[in-house]
Amino acid sequence: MMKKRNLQWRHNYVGYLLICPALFLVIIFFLYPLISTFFYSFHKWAILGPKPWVGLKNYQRVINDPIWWQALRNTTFYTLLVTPLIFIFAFAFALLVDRKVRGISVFRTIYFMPAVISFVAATLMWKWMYNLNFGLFNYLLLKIGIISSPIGWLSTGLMAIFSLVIMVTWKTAGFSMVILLAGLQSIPTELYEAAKIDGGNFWQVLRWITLPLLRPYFALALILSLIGSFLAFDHFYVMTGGGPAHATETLITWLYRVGFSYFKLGRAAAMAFFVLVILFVLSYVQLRLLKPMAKF
Amino acid sequence: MRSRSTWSSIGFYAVHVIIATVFLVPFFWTISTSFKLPADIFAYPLKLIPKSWTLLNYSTLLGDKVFIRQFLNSAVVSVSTVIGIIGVSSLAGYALAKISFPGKSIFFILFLTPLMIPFQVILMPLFILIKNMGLINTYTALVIIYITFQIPLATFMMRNTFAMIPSEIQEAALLDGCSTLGVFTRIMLPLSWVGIVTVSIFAFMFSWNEYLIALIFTTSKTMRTLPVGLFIRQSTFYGGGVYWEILSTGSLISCVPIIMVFLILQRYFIKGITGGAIK
Amino acid sequence: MKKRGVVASIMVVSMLFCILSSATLSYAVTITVWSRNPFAEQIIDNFNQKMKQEGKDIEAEFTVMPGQLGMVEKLSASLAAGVAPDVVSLDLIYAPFFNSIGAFMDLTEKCESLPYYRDLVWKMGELGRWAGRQGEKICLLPFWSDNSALFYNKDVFDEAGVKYPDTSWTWNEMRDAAIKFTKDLDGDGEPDQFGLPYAGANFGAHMFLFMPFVWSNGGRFLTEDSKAAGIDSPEAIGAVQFFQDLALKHKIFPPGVANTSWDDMEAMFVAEKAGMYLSGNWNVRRFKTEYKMNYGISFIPKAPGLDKQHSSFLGGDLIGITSQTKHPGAAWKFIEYCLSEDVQVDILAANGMIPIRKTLWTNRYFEEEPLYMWFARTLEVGYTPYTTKYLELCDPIHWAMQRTLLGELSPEKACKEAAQRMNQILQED
Repeated sequence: MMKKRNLQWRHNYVGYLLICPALFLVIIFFLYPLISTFFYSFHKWAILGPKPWVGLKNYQRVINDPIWWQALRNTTFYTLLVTPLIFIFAFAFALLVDRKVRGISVFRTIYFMPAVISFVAATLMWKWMYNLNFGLFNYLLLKIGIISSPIGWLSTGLMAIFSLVIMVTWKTAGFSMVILLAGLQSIPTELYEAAKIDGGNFWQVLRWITLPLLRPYFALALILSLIGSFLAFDHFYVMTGGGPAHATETLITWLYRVGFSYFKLGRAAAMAFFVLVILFVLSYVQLRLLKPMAKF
Repeated sequence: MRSRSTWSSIGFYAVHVIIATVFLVPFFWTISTSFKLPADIFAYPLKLIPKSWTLLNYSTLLGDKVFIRQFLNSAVVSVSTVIGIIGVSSLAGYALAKISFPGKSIFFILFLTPLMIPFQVILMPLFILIKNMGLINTYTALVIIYITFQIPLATFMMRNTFAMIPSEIQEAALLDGCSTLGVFTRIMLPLSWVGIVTVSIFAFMFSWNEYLIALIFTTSKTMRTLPVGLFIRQSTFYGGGVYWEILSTGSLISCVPIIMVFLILQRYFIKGITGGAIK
Repeated sequence: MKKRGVVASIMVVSMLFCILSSATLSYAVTITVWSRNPFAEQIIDNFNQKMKQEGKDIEAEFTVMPGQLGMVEKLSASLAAGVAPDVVSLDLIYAPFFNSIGAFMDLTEKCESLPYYRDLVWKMGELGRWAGRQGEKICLLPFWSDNSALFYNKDVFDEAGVKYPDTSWTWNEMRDAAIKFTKDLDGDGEPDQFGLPYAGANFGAHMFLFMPFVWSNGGRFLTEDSKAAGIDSPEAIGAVQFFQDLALKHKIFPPGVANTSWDDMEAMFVAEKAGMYLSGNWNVRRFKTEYKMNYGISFIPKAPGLDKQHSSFLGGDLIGITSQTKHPGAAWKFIEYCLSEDVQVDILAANGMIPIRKTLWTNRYFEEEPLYMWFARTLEVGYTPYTTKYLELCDPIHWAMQRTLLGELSPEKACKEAAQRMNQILQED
């Protein structure tokens, strides 16, 4: 009895020890600044000089801010569009490149390559390609004759969001593909061989072996994608600057503008907390639904 | 029989080639622009193939000492980040996957939290903290921050990887008299190769391309990383303009290391490593 | 074992790198300078040489800042952490805000002792003033100037048989010329050449390029005391109406004007698909060296009416010493050098920036390229709004302009709503 408890205690001790480095970093370089930010969200957070307590005023300002709500709508709409699209492509690609054939590494690299360019550089280049008069897309479409007059890819809020969805899918499908590929790679081949012997076809294998075993990877890719979309900043800021008239303003572009262009750091901190709560809820719901922690 | 499988492999490759070509169009455009002179960029009608090729943009960037220095800075920071995050996340991932200790799920959620906060939000307090530690304008600051922000993805990934390894292996080794640490280094790590490779790729990519943190936390030209240096170079300092030729060339040059890293590392995405070990 | 060796040596090399890179030659006094202007590098080098020659142990260290996406955030973070640079060259629109938080040192006495004190462009200098508790003080001085004017393509004018713009041009002449230029060149029923491209997507455009129309008409961005919005006056509405008519009635803008970026606007003019456009002095150099266009410059057309004057947006950078500096004396030496003829003429004027000392406007670079003189003249009629909430207040204007250019709102409704929002912003503490 004693031996078992000792073993258990030693076991726990090792557990805590192993997570120490990560814990140390997260607490000091993330949690501590985060708590500072939270603390200052209740103050008038001036850059220099006194920072008086203002209670919930910053939070109230956020709730009363119509642009905040518009940003929330825009971001939600964008996320709902982009997430399934990325997943369809990522999963399809992962399945297509999960082979040990010649040249597959080239294709893997090509699908991953867009993820490799920095977001800012990619957005600038796509912005140019979407250009009404000088852009590559309109030029090609006009030349081939598919359209008769140039398309305003970025002319309205709605068009701009669609154009951004296309660009982001191109850019990030490869990223999710790699995660799903890692998952596919870790499924032991014996399972597939056994299924073949049992006479299973492609779809059955997919449903009963691949998808269940892929669940944790799926969950990871989904969480990353959802959170990434909610926190979308670089491409929106660079492509449209949040315009026209805040039609493509996202939660973070607005937060950034309020905090760093308008110098209202306290209010930006309050916004950040609303965003954190939203994301927490989303992640919790996902993790519950997908149950990726289940052992098999 | 043979012709059917030949057809299906031709079909297989055809699908890939079509998708790949579409995917690469923006790259073709960028490559083309990098070989153009500024005046040709605005030429209308558009020319995919430049009227007159020039290597001027490449020679300008590659011949610039500052650019090379920034390239090296990025390399040092990225490699250090990868080494650091592999260590940190494999330890934590293993603990979360294989050892049950109280409060495990709370720690797991805690490790996921840095994902949900956009960096801009903690910029100011973090900056003051780093300054108080005397680490402004050092590689150390960037590496530490990058590792911290990679913890969510890396830990989740490593946790998944270790969870896939059947516990029997662990128990067998323990019974054979192996210490817990020994199990970890001799058996678990080698089996988790795929996870480590994935984490490395993502960590390298993140550190290599990261702009905002590098901008804020470095103050001298010689310590800046590539994205920051490139961004300053390609922005005309008035209006909202862009020097397209510099942007394209610089982006392409900065893509090269990551593509190489990916090509090398993805060789390890070989099926059946786990399976082989079980046998 | 081998792997560990590799890892260890990488770490050792990285650490060595860290140590080596943080080692610098130390001077008695090193002042750090931040600017978004890459030419400042030259200024710094010359300054350091000069200090060496004079035997003074001062060295300046320059860090170039990104034009957008970065400078202000870095400055804010550095101030908050107490590690601000010694000298900052700051876009003048930010000056009132940073002065309001006490970021810059009081330079009133120092600059009053300058021999060319009266010669400085005090219109710009106004932005560097701050009425603190101890009365008004000057914290930032003019460094270089950028203002807006009308660029026109001589070939397009010649081809359409229109006389070049001059100081008598009003909105009417501009509109008529623009209508003449907007035509279909390749017979597909759509115009390929336009009167004027305009960057409706860029809030800076509305301020830098459009506000002069409002000002020329007698309207205002903010009231004289900067306490309320001025954009709902009939004069201001009149200017917005003019632009809406250009867009919807006369259709002289390229399609999608409300969403055209600054880049696109420039690209249209550079590709010679437009007769004129509005922009600033930095383009003189570009058009000469990179694009070789046959073009001219004139004042932004004034509003029609006997008592109307020309106007322009007076932009540029101010330079100041941060209150966190440890070397005010050396920093002031540097600023003096920046305002000297060596810098203002031989570096700034030579590269197309407007010197901020009026007597220096006659210099050999401006004689070689007389187009620059236009910008010196626009500087005289130029104006800059003074407010601590500049960027925030630009947003309603941006919104109003976009809605009117799209035809979604009448100028009167848009301006009144914009003024309401601006007043809200001004009243918020």
